[in-house]
Amino acid sequence: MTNVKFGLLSGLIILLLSGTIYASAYARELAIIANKDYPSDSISATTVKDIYLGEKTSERGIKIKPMEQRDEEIKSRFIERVLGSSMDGYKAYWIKKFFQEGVMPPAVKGTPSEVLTVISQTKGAVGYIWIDDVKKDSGVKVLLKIEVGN
Amino acid sequence: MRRVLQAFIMVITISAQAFSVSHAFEFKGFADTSLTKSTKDADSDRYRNGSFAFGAVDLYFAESLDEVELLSELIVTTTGSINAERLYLGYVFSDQLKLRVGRFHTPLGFWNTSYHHGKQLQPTILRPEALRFEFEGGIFPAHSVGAWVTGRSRTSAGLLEYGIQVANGPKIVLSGSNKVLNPNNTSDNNIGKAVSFNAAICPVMIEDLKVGVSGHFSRVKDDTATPPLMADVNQEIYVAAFTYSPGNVNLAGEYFNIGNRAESDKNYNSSAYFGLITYNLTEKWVPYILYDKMLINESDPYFQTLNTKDVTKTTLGVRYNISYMSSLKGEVRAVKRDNKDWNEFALQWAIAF
Repeated sequence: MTNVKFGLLSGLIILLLSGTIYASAYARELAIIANKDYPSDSISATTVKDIYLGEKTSERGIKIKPMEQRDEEIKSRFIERVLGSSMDGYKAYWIKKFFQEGVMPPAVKGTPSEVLTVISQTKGAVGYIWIDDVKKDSGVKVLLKIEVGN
Repeated sequence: MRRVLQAFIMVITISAQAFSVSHAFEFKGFADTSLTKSTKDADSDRYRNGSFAFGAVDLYFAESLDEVELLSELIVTTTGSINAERLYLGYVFSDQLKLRVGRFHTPLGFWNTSYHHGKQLQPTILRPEALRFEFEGGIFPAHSVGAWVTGRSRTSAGLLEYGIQVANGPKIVLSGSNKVLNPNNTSDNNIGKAVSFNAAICPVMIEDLKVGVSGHFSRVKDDTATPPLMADVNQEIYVAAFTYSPGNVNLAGEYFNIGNRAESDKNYNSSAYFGLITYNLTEKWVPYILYDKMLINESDPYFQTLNTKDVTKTTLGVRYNISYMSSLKGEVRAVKRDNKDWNEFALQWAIAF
């Protein structure tokens, strides 16, 4: 009887652990990318938030140009998980910010390849993209990887 | 001359709109309409029936070309005139140092630089009493014309914001039969420049708290009569302000101390304050309460000239966000002005476009 209980408990633990590992293995990651000439090789999540909320607009004399994705899935994941806001809350924030201070909202780009191309060609450009879409020799550098859930 | 200026501003506006189609030029606007019923002078038809009003149309555009920025906010009033409420050129050296030259809102407290003329963004239908615009009988110049150095910096203690502004000294002018403040848009006819400062911190120790102080020093000239009825007044205004947003609750408060010194060197002191609580019941429904008060020194020649009286006002309201671009607000207000009491009921529909 003790063996049966031990077996059940062990099975439950293995099941829970494997579930966690599975979920972790398939949690999607965003890459915060920047133009090769961006004057820093890493960035904190707080700084990413400051950039996308218009609180930080320059880095060591270079004007930061944040880029937005048009794709709703990655955009909502970024806004909700990284910026900690709802989509409507983010849009309302930018209307207010733009009106109060004249700070321009991030420019919206289309496909991941377009985002990569624009960032690789624009000094000070910063963007976000699924980690799988980052290609070698694409002219950008990864500043931060952020797990944003399944 | 005025018509020529209006036509010029209209051409600039239309050009900017056309330009925005082909360029990353952000062009936005605000509009609102309201219905107000009051028990003040209840016998008159105006108050018995309530009044519909169409608020001013606010046309707003901004451009940023690397370090140079341009911002313009034009108001088309219900009488058909166009007023430039904010208009400035800026140069961004860094986040820590920005220079702006033109016309802006005076950096006194938080409300005056956060909420401008677009009603959609404002949490309540009306501005607090102490922050009324000049033409509404405001007690200090909400707008300034001059140069403003401003910046923000993230430190280990928290996010710091700071600024200093040098502007034309304000004057008092006639607007219809009323005497109102004017920020001296195109010239400065008194001997002293107006100087303002502001400093605020969002401390890392207490998340969602922002506290700040600001001040304004100017010489106010009476331009309503020759010779002037009021001698020039040296004015000092000090403001303490805070906002705090723990969870769904948002708290805000500002305290104003206004010191006026006439040529007789006699000092007069008045004060004003307001407190606002809003509660995000859901994303759509936001009830709020605003309490504001002005305690005016009646022997102060400055306030005598502006005909400013003591006011106590309590506003209970609810905001319904139709979307992030549009909202409905309903308010009940209990007003006491110059020892006379009345109630007001108001509805407002505001949009951003």
